[in-house]
Amino acid sequence: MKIAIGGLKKNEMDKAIKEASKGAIETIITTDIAAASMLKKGEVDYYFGACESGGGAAISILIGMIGYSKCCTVARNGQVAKKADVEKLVADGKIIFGMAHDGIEKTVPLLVEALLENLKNND
Amino acid sequence: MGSFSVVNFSVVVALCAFTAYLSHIGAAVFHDGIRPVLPEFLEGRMKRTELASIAFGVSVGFIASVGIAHTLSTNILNPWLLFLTTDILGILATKKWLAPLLGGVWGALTLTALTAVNTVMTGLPVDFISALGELSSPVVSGFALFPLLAIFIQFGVKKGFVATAITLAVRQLVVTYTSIYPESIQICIGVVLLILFAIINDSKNKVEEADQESVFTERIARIRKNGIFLIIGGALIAVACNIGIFAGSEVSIYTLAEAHKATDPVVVRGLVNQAALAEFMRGLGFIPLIATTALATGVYGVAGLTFVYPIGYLMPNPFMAAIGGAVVVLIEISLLGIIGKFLGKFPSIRASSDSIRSAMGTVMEFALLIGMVLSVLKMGGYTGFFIAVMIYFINDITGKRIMKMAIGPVAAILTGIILNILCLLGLFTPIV
Repeated sequence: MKIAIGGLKKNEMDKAIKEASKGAIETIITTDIAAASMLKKGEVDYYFGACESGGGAAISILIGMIGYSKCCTVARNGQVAKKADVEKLVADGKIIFGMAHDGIEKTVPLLVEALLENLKNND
Repeated sequence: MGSFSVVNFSVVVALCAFTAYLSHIGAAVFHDGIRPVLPEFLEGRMKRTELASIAFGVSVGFIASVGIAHTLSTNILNPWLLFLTTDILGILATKKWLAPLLGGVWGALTLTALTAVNTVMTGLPVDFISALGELSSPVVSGFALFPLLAIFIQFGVKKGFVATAITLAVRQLVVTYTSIYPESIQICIGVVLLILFAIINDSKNKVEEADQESVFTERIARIRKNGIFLIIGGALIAVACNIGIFAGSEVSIYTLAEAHKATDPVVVRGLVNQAALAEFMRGLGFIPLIATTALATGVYGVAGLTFVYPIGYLMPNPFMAAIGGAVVVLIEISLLGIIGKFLGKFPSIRASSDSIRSAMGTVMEFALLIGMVLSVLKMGGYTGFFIAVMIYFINDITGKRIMKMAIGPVAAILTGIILNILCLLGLFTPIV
């Protein structure tokens, strides 16, 4: 599994994904526009992006280039993501995940866990 | 200043009425996250109520924390408070005439409420309004560090150290031999180094160009069709900035508040120039984001690429500001296509935009936190420190419900209120 990282606090996001997946997930630090074309070509499976609100700059280009139905906001600012909600988003086939940058450390582990779980179930 | 006068009142009401209308017709919204969702509604894939609930969801936290905190601390209105709300109101309005009506009412409400709150607060036993001014002290110097931080984030430790050493050396030369503000020079050097590193990076790794032009052309046509509305919007914003009642963002609002308090015209001029430079640099950092979301969606930003703010600050009178604001937006929308192509060729510049915005956020959060400490020490010594720092930690541990960018000002305001309550109970003696 490979995740493209865009938006704010990319290094923090990268570290959080690697720690949560214990190295099982490959990452690439890039920009939202480049990530959109990587997703289209199948070079990466998912996109994680952070911005101030979690629903704004983080995923706005992806909504425009990949489509609204594939995008979601996992945690808005001031919100703590809930495990059940994250699992539902993954099960719904969302591949582009936006989150508020204040919440990276709390949100990423839940999301990574849900994605790895999803991968196991589909094998 | 954010005081109540017929001119101020009319400008704010007109501005809010107009920006609500912009949102209603889908010409421009302020929130970068609503922009890409708007076509879903315009092209019939989403209901108005659904869009309105998304708009409310992404904005309410900003309005309640950043929007209110920056304005209460400075007595100057800001776009989060005004435009995020008019985004929502314009979308909510079911009729064309209803949008400007709701927007205008919001403008009138914020200005009267601000005036009322200020009157109440200045009459309190512990004067915390003047202490809140301390929030702004670390802002200018703190903000000036953003390019260095951005270089560390994007290009690593080695280039980061080199850039820091160069900037510090130049800063000391400027401080020793001239009387100009070293911060402006620092920002310029840092940004030039950042762009230089980005271009070197791109010339090393040749990148393939993404083919997005066909989509862009159609979207640009839509933005140009709404051009006249966007230009009027730009003129109104520049006027509001010019009369000193409105500031573009956290990077200039505190410096402007200081300028309003200063009496020496030379100091005032210097501070206003510093605020304009900070806002201009922030504008540069945001070009890639706003331009690309506009090109991808056909919906523009209410304040465009945000260069109307510095123009508004710098113009000698409101009339010139209106002309300046209109011209700036006209130039921006004429150049959109070229900006889009340029960003396609230099992906590192686009990546720099992300690191610049990350870095600006980090330095401003830090500066406002130090500002909070200075301000609560002034209003209540270490009793103030106790209260404010505990508010900070409680927010941190309970899931950061108040954004990092807003917690400094919010904690300072709450501390002021609590100190006043303690004073009424006879448990605190004002120290000033």
